[in-house]
Amino acid sequence: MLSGLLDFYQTTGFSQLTWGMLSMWVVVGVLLWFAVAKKFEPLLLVPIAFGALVANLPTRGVITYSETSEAVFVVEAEALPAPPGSHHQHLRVERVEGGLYDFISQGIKLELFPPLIFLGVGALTDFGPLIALPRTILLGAAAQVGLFLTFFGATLLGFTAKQAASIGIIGGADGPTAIFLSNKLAPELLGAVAVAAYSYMALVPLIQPPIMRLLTTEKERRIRMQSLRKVSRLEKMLFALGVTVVCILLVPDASALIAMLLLGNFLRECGVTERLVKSAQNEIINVLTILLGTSVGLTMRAETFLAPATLKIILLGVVAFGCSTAAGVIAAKIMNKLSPKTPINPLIGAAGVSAVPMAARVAHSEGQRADPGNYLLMPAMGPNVAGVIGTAVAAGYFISAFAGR
Amino acid sequence: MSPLSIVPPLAIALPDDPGLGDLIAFQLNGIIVVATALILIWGLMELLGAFFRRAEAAASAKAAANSTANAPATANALTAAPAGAGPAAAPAAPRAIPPDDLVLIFAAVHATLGPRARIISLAPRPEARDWAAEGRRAIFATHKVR
Repeated sequence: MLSGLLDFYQTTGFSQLTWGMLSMWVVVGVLLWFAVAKKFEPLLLVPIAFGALVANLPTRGVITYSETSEAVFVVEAEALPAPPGSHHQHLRVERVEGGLYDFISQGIKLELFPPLIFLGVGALTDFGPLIALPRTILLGAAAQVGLFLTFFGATLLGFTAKQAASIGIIGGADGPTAIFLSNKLAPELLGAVAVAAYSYMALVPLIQPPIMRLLTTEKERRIRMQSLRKVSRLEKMLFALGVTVVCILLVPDASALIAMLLLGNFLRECGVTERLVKSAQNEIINVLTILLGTSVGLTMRAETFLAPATLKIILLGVVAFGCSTAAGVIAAKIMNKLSPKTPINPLIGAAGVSAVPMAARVAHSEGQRADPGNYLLMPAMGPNVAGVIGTAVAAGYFISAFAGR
Repeated sequence: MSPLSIVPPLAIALPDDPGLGDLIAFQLNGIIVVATALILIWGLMELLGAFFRRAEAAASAKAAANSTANAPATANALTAAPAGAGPAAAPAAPRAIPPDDLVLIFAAVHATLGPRARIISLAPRPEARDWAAEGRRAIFATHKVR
């Protein structure tokens, strides 16, 4: 009877638990606490955390197919040299056709989800504030400096150039772009990079204000900006077409992200595709967010996530974020020196990181702290949406530099 | 068809074992690429903006000219009506001001200046966006920023 119970125990999941899995449950708990109790990016962190929990349970049929004798077949394998005297062909199995999430996670591996999420982002984004105040696009460019500085730091810390690029993109504060780039250049870091990117995006209201206050004076924070002119629908449509052409010509490797972002935006602005816009703004982006989040979470297995590299990525991520914020604020101050007649409130420079619209809200909130009558939300949306384009272009630059290496 | 070679490739190759100089050059190159893309977009926006601002200014000037031409007739119609009879005067409103707005203006004048006040003339200000901005401010102020 005892041996029967022991045999049964071997068939349960308990026999396959490891200390690493239990440690990851703690990580999952922390992520769920952030998402549910603190409401920090819950739409992404809840699926990621849940996916991470599933990845650290001895599941069957979720990630790989249940290994029944009829159904398993190898789809990717490498032939190994047969040992002397052996009559059998030896294969190293690279991938077994798998379960539910083996198929769903193809959306990341084949680089489908991030561009499709960008379709929804484009459909939700109003580029009007940027078009009305075009020079704020420079703040979106300046905020990418942090991204390159972090690339530099990560390389010095021993990461390969591809890994460093994946870590640096965290400073862009753009989740889909970070996932897109990381999957392309350093898939082994995908889980850590995604968690760091979304965690820091959620922590924008905590990370940015101290840096903004440190780099600005009370007088600068009180600067009021001129009312934005009304931008016509035709102007917004021409903007979407023009940006698509310019960016794809300059950085073809960013085509997937840029094209889908601006397709979504054109659908929004053209005014004749209401059903498509509603789908992109709601059903498409919501469904893909669930699938993307859980797919990312499923990459967070204990054996890959609980490594010193993850801690370095978390630390480098906050450096990237801080540098991007600081670069945006400093760029705004420089612009004020060069053009003192039409000053910009330097707080909106911090919105150059592309956490839309959180970073713009933080700039607005900090402006109101200094002057309750100051309304910076719309001017801050300009650099904010410029940051989305800037981060996608930077990702394209990294891909073109490292493609095929 | 053979592609046009307008610009050279912008991404530089980073050696497998990059030195400090290689890394700095790579970073600077990346910043230049991003800045170039966004500056090109800036130029595009300025071009579009200049065109649309000019078109808007021309339309505003035309509207202002029309409203000036209609002003005497409007003034006569409005002068004949007592301020307290605002809603009754709405059908005689100029085309540029919607009747609902006229009702509100009459009511506001009546409430603030009293029944003896008379409105002599009404004309839209082409460049006035303050009230729209005020409305936006009121909406934003009702949202809590966390």
